[in-house]
Amino acid sequence: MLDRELTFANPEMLKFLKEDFIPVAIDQWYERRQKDTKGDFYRKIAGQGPRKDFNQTTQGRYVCDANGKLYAYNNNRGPDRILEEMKKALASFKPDEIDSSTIKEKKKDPRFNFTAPENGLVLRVHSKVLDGYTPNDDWRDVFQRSIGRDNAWFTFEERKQLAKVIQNGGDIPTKLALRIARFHLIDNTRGEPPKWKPEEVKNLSMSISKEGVLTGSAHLETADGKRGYQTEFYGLAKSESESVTQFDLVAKGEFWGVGRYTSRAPKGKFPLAIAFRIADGSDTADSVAPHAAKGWLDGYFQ
Amino acid sequence: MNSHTSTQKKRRNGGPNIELILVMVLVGLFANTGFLFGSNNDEFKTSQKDLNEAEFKKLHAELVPKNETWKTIPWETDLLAAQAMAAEQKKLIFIWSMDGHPLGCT
Repeated sequence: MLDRELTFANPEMLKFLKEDFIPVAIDQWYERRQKDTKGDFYRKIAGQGPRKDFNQTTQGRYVCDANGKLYAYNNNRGPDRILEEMKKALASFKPDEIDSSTIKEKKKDPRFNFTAPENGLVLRVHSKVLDGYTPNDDWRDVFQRSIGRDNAWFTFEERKQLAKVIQNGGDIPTKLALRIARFHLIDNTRGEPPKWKPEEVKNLSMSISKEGVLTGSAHLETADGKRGYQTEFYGLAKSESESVTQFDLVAKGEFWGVGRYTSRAPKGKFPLAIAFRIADGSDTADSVAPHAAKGWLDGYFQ
Repeated sequence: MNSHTSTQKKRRNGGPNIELILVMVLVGLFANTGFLFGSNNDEFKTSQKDLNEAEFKKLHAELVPKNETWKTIPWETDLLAAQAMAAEQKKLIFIWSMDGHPLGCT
């Protein structure tokens, strides 16, 4: 998130990446684990850098060629240092000496190659802390502007169920409401957030009127009370036949607490809003698997 | 003595029917229209009660990332697709490799 704001807003960096490099964005949690062609290629690259232990994170920015030769590694957010490495890499790169053959994907590890359900429904999920940060800290200012991103996935059958409820009015099917609550009513504006355990769903209601108005509320809280979210829902939904044509939903409530990777939250309770809308596939990020599905796609759909 | 035996004994002795009480409690919970979990007696009496249609529309529009320069970069999400492009175009690959997908998931 900070990279998006700090590193990739630099005009020179943008120019380089657009003109001189093939930019690729990945969650290395998958690539370093997967036992397949893609995983092999990633480990070949990352193994030349300082993070060779594939049981631990290998995150960073890598510059390599099509043969997998590493030219630079950096895990610093400062654009100046990354730019310096990129320039050095370009200076030493000899395109004509590169074997220009494409790597054929001979093996694909099903445990780590997730695609959205065929004919299912994908929602874009955006979150924002509306207030609560102190104004004089640069990072906190970034956090205050930050919008968290994720995708919510629903299967073909679930899409049909949802379309039916939208047509007739009634409660959102429990399984779908729980998925939204446990995996998407989270504060992901500063890093990878923890999901809610089933027993942390203290209260959840989500229904839709025959006019297509979504309302409800949720109360999520850890056993020790250190992290929680109490929120209301309001939204508008439409369906045609078995298709959901609109699913605009907002959750707004008070969040408190942090996760292991989401420190630096505002103190005490702070307002957090989360918005859902149908992904139309026009954004590259629409294909990214839900964060909560990481290594656990079956569990995500339970 | 396990609890099942204990319950049977209580029932034989005219004690409370635990299963029936449990069913009645569950029916009571689900009878609260729209509530899937918990009860509507939750003490959620905070200032968020202003989430009406106007507030919803305002927030829904606000929670769309806008003018993001990093999104103008033509990011690939498949490392092998990037390799193929790099081989064809004879360019270097820049890998943004994170914990959590950089384009989503945070």
